[in-house]
Amino acid sequence: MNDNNNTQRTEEILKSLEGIKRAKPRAELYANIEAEFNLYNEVSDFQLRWVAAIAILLLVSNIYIVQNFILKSDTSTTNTTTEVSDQYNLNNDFNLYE
Amino acid sequence: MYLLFNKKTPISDLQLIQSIAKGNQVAFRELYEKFGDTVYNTAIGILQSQEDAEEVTQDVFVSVFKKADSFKGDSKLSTWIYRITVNTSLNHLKKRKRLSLFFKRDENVEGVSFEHPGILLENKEDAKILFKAIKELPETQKVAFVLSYIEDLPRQEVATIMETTLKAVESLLQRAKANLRKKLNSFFFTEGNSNK
Repeated sequence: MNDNNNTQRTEEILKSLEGIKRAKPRAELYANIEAEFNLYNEVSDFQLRWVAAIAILLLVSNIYIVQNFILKSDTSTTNTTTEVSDQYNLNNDFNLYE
Repeated sequence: MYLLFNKKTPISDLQLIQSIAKGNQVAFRELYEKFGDTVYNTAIGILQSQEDAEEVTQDVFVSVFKKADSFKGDSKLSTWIYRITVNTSLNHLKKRKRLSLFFKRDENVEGVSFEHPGILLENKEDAKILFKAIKELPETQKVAFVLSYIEDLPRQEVATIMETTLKAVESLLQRAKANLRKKLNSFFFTEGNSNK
């Protein structure tokens, strides 16, 4: 008898979901989600700007370094030529066999 | 189909999700209006906590936005969102379990039976007992049960969401019901609630 009662109660309990309505979230929940959405959007833009800025900085510094290197090597070539010609002139000035 | 910007130009699921991927806030709002309740109701069924369900709903919509680029329209948008919801809810459950190992949660809070806000008034007490038993079901059985009986989805759709066959879902539901009967019987035996 008791077993029958239990079985009946079990079936009643299993049927307790009948007619269930959808649970709805609080209206304020969307505000939180939207804030996160906007934050993520802003962060993405912000990160993109940073990446662009760093890339430009790297490019400018590379151009500067290469330009400096070329300028330096130009100066050193000119210096060597001057030195050689100076020496030549100097040597030319000696009247060794006079 | 949706009406973006409240104009009478219907747009497809794919167009809606592509707009979201580009950061369109109006499209995002439209998606929330369409699927907000679905996500929350599924999450609350699995997690049995309004607070956790809200947290998961928030995580799901942020995920949808982040993953919007990867949606190619191979499956229905609703199926894709259900999958994200189920996975996020299960991960949340695991996280809750892990945390409870480190921080002893208040036994009284844990022990409080869950009251689903959509249950009919006359079924409230019985549903409390049922949710207690659902909580103890294995993960896959719980998901199949929640999608079938709380979200009221057709079995075939449940199978698509769970990436399994219709037969497998039917078997999961049978086992879930058998387990629930066992748990409810043992509940009567220990608590002596049979005459309530």
